Amino acid sequence: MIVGILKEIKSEENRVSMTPAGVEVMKQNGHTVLVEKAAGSGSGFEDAAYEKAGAEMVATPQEIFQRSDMVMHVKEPLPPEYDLIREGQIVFTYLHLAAAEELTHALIKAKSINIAYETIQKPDRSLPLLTPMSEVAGRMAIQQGAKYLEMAQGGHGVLLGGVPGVDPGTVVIIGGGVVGINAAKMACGLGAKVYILDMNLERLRYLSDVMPANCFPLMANPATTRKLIKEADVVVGAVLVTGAKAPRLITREMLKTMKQGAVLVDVAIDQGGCFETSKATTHSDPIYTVDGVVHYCVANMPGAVPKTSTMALTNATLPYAVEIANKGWKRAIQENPEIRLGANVMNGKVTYKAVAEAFGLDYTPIDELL
Amino acid sequence: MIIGILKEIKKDENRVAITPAGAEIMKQNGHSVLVQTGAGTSSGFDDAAFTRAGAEILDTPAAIFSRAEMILRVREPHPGEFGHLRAGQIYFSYLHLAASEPVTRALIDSGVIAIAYETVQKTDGSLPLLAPMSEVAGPMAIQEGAKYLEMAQGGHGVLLGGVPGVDPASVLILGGGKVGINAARVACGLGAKVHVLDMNLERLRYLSDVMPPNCFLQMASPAAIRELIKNADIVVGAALIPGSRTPTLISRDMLHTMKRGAVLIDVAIDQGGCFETSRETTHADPTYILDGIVHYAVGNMAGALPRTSTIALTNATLMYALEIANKGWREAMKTNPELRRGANVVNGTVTFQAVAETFGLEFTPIDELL
Repeated sequence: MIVGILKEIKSEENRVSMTPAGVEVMKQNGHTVLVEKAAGSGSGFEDAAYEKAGAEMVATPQEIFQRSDMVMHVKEPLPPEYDLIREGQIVFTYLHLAAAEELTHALIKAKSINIAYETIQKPDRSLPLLTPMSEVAGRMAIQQGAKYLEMAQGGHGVLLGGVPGVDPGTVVIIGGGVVGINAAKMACGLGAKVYILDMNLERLRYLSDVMPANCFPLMANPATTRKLIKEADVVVGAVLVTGAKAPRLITREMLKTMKQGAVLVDVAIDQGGCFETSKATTHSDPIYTVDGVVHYCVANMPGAVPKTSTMALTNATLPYAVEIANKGWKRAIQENPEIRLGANVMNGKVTYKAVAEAFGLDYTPIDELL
Repeated sequence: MIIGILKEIKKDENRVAITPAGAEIMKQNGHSVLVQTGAGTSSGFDDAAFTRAGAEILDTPAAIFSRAEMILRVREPHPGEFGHLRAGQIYFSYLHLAASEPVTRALIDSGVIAIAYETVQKTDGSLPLLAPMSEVAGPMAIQEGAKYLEMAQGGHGVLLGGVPGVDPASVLILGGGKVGINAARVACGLGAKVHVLDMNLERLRYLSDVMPPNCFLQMASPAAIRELIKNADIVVGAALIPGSRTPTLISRDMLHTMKRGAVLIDVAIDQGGCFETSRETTHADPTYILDGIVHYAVGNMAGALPRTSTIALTNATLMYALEIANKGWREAMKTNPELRRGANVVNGTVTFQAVAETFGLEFTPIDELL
């Protein structure tokens, strides 16, 4: 199969969908890899590294779309690319279609095979191609909280880990999933007092087993949230409900009970945010203050650390991409139920129920197309 | 004794020289405490808290200068305050006189008893009133490094702790003293690969005993620095030699051997910096990029975290201030050699040799004045 790696064109997106190490694996499996010039430069991979791995460097996205059987991206196709997508071409990338009606129609019209990273799902319901980004975002959340506690940044001037003789900061992490546990790990490593709230008792038991002694796992409920935010220096919103809008956990009314100069980090902002006062910000202008509380709500947090994020993402995507390339999309979907759940829009039909429902479109079960 | 607490007026200085808890102890020892209104606000202590602790709140610095027998301060007097200093009044604060001839002359002319935090020294050579700020600056150095590794900040986009399957960042810490060990502790807690260099083999043995296994210790040498900076994502300059200019550990022509987008944090900037390319920056504009390397060289790093820093500093200063207040400065210096080392300018004569030498002034051993 000919696999095409496109350069990302979305603003602030420096990741790339395949590393030179991934190209080498594709080649070993007998595939041809086309890489758009400079596609990896934001992630620290020069064209020469791809060439050494056996890729062919291509000057334009047009040529990649024209020649590839499967194109890989990190972000969804943007309007200038809509007309370049060919009928029957596999598009394997993050799509987030339920939030993008125009894109959904463009993919229907293109009659391409669109497999979304974010809906690939394991039998245990985990989302293997979202996990790596949650790991990055969770760990980053604490770094942001620590930084924006500085007074010149609007924070109230507390060192998260304290010093001998001075109380450390208190970190409240709402949600004990992948984001939450990674945030907690970092906050504990800094020496903070860390509360992590989750609604799943089994998960709390697991957290209790694996986390250090300065991490306190608690059952999530509104009363606990109300109580803990009063003493929190950093609150991390890490509640992600698959495919749905994040629940509102801290209302504007509740901000008044918090310390002036505390920091809210909303990792769920891509799903609408879990604080009432959250609105999406960018890495170039990441924070704003409401009622004295600093808000950090950068959408696509992992985009700030593209080297780490690219490797984390491609570690997870590569085995699926290789399987699709080796077997072709039909057999890959027939044999691997994880990939089957990734099928979103295929041959002009919407095969992912939530997307069809979101826009009142006809839903076609993927099995009818295999 | 009447103790006067002034509001700090130096830019970016948000600390205060006593907390309400400290004022309470002063009162218990029979002293009066005058606090300028608003002095503690940025550190989280409002006037009411000082009042409850038994302090008297005054509106103007002039009122405090005219009544107080000892001025307790974080920073040296400002030129606008020189006229307020009274002969025989004790002024106990950070002074850094070797860096400021005008302040030195003003203290001489006024006839005050100027005791400097930074030269109070224990018999083992340690500097107990600098240590708390090193304990704040060390962990902060890592937080800053993590933040400025973000691509939007000029860094090369690496997450300090990595994620499962992706290499963590490498942190090189030059100097294993107070700053270095505290930086290393936090960097290790975040999961980085940490190298600490020190020239003292006994110190390296101690670090080896107490640090976690992801902390690697090496004898400091130019060769070791040249080798390790090639792979470093963050370099922390933590080499501080009390009372003298810091050695230059990384020259400009070594920068080109480093990764583009690596971050240098110069914690020694207050002493001239340990990188040739360091120039002092502020919390409002903390970084600049030279030869592709991000430089963070904020003077007075701890000032960004006044709540933690104020408590850390006053935990250390209070017992000395109390001893001076209880015994009077002469008796305190006679009985406590640590405080004797703090005497910088007394009754119009310079009593700290390095200061006298710097400005070609006459040096009077403090013992002659006791």
